[in-house]
Formats: sequence, C-alpha cells, structure tokens
Amino acid sequence: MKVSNKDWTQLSAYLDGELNPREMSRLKTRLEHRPGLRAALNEIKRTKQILSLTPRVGIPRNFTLTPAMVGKPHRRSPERGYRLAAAALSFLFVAVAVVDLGSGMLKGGMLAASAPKSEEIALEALPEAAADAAVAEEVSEEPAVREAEEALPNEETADQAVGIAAEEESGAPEAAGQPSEESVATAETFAEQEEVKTAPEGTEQVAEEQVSEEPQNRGDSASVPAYTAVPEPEQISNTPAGETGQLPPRRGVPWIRILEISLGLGAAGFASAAWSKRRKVS
Amino acid sequence: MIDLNENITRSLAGDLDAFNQLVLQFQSQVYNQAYRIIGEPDAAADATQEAFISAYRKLHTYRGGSFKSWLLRIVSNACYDEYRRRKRQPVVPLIPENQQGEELETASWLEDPGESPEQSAERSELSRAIQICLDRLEFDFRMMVVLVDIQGMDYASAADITNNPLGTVKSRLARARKSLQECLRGFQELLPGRFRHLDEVATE
Repeated sequence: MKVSNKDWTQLSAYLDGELNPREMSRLKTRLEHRPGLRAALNEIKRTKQILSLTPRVGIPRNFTLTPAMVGKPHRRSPERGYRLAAAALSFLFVAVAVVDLGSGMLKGGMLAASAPKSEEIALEALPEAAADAAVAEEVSEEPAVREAEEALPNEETADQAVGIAAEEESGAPEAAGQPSEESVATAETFAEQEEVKTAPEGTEQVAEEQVSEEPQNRGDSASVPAYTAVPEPEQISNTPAGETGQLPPRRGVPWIRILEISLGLGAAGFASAAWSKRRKVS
Repeated sequence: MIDLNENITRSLAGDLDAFNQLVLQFQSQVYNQAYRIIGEPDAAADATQEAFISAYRKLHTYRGGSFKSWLLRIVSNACYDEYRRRKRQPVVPLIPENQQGEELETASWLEDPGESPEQSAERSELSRAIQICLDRLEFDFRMMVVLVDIQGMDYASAADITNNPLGTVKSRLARARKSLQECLRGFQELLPGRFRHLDEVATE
C-alpha cells in the first residue's frame, strides 16, 4: 500500500515526538489498522538510526582566532566608493555644463540683440569722424599755408606761417586717424570755399591775424553740426564691443570652465580607479 | 554553563582568549556541521574558520538562549555561502582525493587512533555511504537532516537556525529521510552488518 507524503511527514514527526497529542492518538489508531504505515514507520526509524550513528569526523586543526584574523576589521573594497564618487561627479559635471550652456545661450541672445546697434553706431560714426577730422585738418592747414604763401612775399614769414600751420595740423590726424577718400574730397571742397573767402585779403598783418586766428577757426569748425555730434573717434575705434554692449570684459579662464574641467577629470579618475579595482578583484 | 556565560561576557569585552575557549568548546560540532553540509574537508575547514571569525565580530548580536544554536546558524550561513560559491565554480569532488587526485580508499581523516582497523574501516564505510547520500540531497533538505538527525536538534531549533516555519522543517525532513532511505538501500554492502537486516528485525 502506497504511503502518501502527508503520512510520511506524520510518521517522521511521530518518531521525533513532534506531533501534538491529538495527531499522535489519531496516527496510533491508523498504525494499528494499516500494516503499510507500520512498515513505512520502520523504514524511517532505520534511516534515522543509521544517521544517528554517523561518525563524527575529527577536526583537521584548531580554529582558534589570532589577533591578525580579527584585529583588522574586514575592509570593504573601495570600488563601490569610487563608483559612487564617479557617478556623483559625473552628475555635477552634467549639471554645471547645462548651467554653463544655458547662460552662454542667454548671453548670446543678449549679444545678438545689442551687438548690431553698437556695430552700426561704430560703423556710421567712424567715417563721419574721419571726415570731420580731415575737414579740420584741411581747415587748419590749407588756408593758412596758402594765405601765408600768397600774402607774404618774404620767405621767412611764409615759412613761419607754414610752420605755425604745420604745428596746428598735428592735432587733427591723431583725432581722425586715416581719412577716407570721401572725407578727403569733402575736406577739399570745404578748403576751396575757405580759400575763396580769405584770398582777397593779402597783407602781412592779415596773414598774421589769420595765423593767429587759426585756433579760433578750428574752434569755429567745431561748431559745425556734423563735427560736434560725433563722439571722439578714439573712443569708438578702440573701445571693445563688450564695453559698448554693457558686457564685462573677459579676463583669463572663467571659473565655471575650471569647475567643469575639475569635475570631468575627477569623474574620469574615479571611474578608472573603480575599473582597475574591479579588474584586480576579478 | 557558568564558564560559557563568563567567556561570552569576556569575549564581548574584546578578550580574544576567552573567545578562543568558546572556539575550543564548539569547534568539533561546528566543523562536523560544515563537513556534512559541504562534504569536502578543506572547504568545511574554511567555512568553519569563517564562521568563528564572523561569530567574534557579531557576538554583540547574541541575545542569550542556546549559544550552540546561535553558532550553528552562523556556520549554516557560511556553508550556504560556500555552497553558492561552489555552484559558480568548477565541481569539487565529493569523494576525498589525495594530492595526486586519486580517490582515497580509506578515509584517513576519519581515523580514530583508539579503534581497530576493522572498526575504522566500518566507520569510514558508513561515513562514506552517508555522505554520498547526503550530497545527493538538495541543500535545504540536507541542512534539515544534518541539524536534526546528525546534530540532534529539535524542530524548533532547526526552524530557528534555518529561518523556516516549523511546518517546513517537518515536511522537508520527512522528504529528506525518504530520499536517504532509498539511497542507503543501494549501499547495503557498505553499511555495518547490524543495519543490513534491520528491515527484517523492524518488521518482526
């Protein structure tokens, strides 16, 4: 007669005295009427006896501990720490890079909005300034020299007049820089008109007065609307776009770039350290 | 018992000599538990050593009760770790071998200097037959048999050590015994004479 698994469990527990009284009494009743259960019980009993006689093996050595075994607490591999550090630095690197990129795009947008205006002003202002400077040059040079040459028969006085005119000439080019062809033409036209006005008066005194009045003439020429409206050319031509566009000047490497490089190098370093540790372990 | 508690207290204070007294007291049981579960002497020795080191470090988690049960739980965990490690690695022979890789005919590691050659041979044959049958069991079933039938623990202690309910212990032990019975029947010639005819004696 086949014994079920439940009966096997009951018989096994019965042998070990692990059945409660109710289960035990019921099993005893069944054992009286079922020889198959009794045979199974005997087989389990025999197996249990054999197992209980299992020889105890001798220990190969003593397992007492030494301070070296327990003195040093088991150190966890630093690989996990390296991996965490690499992950954290990578995350920070990405975050800083995103911030940097975002601010760069924002600045780019602001520049795009402000740069055309400043460039236009600069481009428009430069020829006018150059033209005005050339006008001033012509105004200061041409009439004085010609008047001096025409009005003064004496070479010395003429040379003096030319020297004075040349002295006054020196201020204009500094302010104007290189005049364009257009400005030169304008200046010549202006000079011809001046020449027409001053040519009839051809005495030495008049020439001296003319020479002495040159600064005034120069001052008068400053009252010309085109000249006075233009800011000083030097400032326009030499001022960086950042100043005119209200952007701070860039000095050296920005701190955010240094931070990005540091984070990137740190992440790469920790990742390679974790990788090398992992290779050593495996 | 007083010595046991005193050694535990001193070990908790960091006295390694006191803990080594505990090691000397329990090392045979712990090693036999490991050996019957793992089935290989060197691996059992490693698991035993690891178990004692772990016990020293985790001694603060001992909350009273049976110190033996507490130790056997630790060694059971160490054996389970070893079992998993061996599953991932090449098979270690279940039958003891010498350094040349030849199977040992007599289990010299079982020799007892006080017994005759016949008795020694009988013991080794029985031990070998049991170990072969134990190795054929699944790990959890083998653990139950070793704890209850070889170490002599009750079901409650076995349940506590293996973190299993009492019903699981009962059913696993019954199934393990049934498997062992069938296995040992195939090793009748290796069993001592008094067990070869036990069926007949029991039936009578």
